[in-house]
Amino acid sequence: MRDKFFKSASLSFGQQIGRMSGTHPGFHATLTRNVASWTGELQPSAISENYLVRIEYTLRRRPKVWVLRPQLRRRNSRQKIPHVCLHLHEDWTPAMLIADTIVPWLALWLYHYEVWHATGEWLGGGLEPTTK
Amino acid sequence: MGRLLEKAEPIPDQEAAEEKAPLKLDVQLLKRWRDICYKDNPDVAPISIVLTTLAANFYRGEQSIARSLGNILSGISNLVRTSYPRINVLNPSNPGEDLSERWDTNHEAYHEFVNGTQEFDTPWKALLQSRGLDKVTRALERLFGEEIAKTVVEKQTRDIEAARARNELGMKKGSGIVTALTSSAVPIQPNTFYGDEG
Repeated sequence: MRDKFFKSASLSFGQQIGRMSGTHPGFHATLTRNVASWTGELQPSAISENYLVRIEYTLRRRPKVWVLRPQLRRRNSRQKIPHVCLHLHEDWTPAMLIADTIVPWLALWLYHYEVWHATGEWLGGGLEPTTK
Repeated sequence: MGRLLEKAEPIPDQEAAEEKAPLKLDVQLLKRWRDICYKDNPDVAPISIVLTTLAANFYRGEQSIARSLGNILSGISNLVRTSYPRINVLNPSNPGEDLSERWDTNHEAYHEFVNGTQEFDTPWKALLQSRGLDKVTRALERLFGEEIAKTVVEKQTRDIEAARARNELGMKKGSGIVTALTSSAVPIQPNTFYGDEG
């Protein structure tokens, strides 16, 4: 798996930043020597919260994401605060555009996070955030 | 039996919510709220014809249920405030008929109607300001019952997941809204949610 990840063709910072600004113009991009990062808002449904999120990308590493505001909450006192978990390792490679993968996956994860709070059931497939 | 069957009309096909006129949905929501609000004291619950007539009276052609039901509730509240000793709900096709005449003799029922509609109006307006599917669902549970609110959210989510499985799900550019795949949406590519706890 690791070999496949590193051997796949990588997109450049320029390609990632260009696609992000074209597809998600509300996101603010910052580029330091080794790390590109974006901060912007996502609202997964018309009645959802507006989430301020941050994505950090070190070239050829898997992107990291944070929900900055509002703070993610536990559902009850027995459960832990869910960690944003967007994909299995093999779902993403550096040949993929963050704008076309990580951002929509994050929006969908946030939708399911709200539904999980509403119903108590994780309906997004994969692994429920707090069952691991 | 023969006569009854002759008179019986075919059962209309079930309409999807989006096919129903807003007023029809407003009336359904009012009746549902009535059934929940007065479940412990059904004798004082407002009758369906009164709710239907009031809704039709204050409906102004809004296409949004949120707005139309809000305006109907505000209209009822204003009418109650300016009517003494009670509001009169007249039959639109026969203004000589007072559909609400039982309130003349059953004052408790009128009192409960006034309190009930005011207690509906406030949380409905608060609900419209709420953000977060969970908060909206909780507010809907209080008004329309726990099971129905959860069922609606779960059904919508299962529809979304079915579209995702068919690769027909997208995210609206510029907002993040999860939606059917159109030209203004970024396709949501296949993935499996997974991760460590924080």
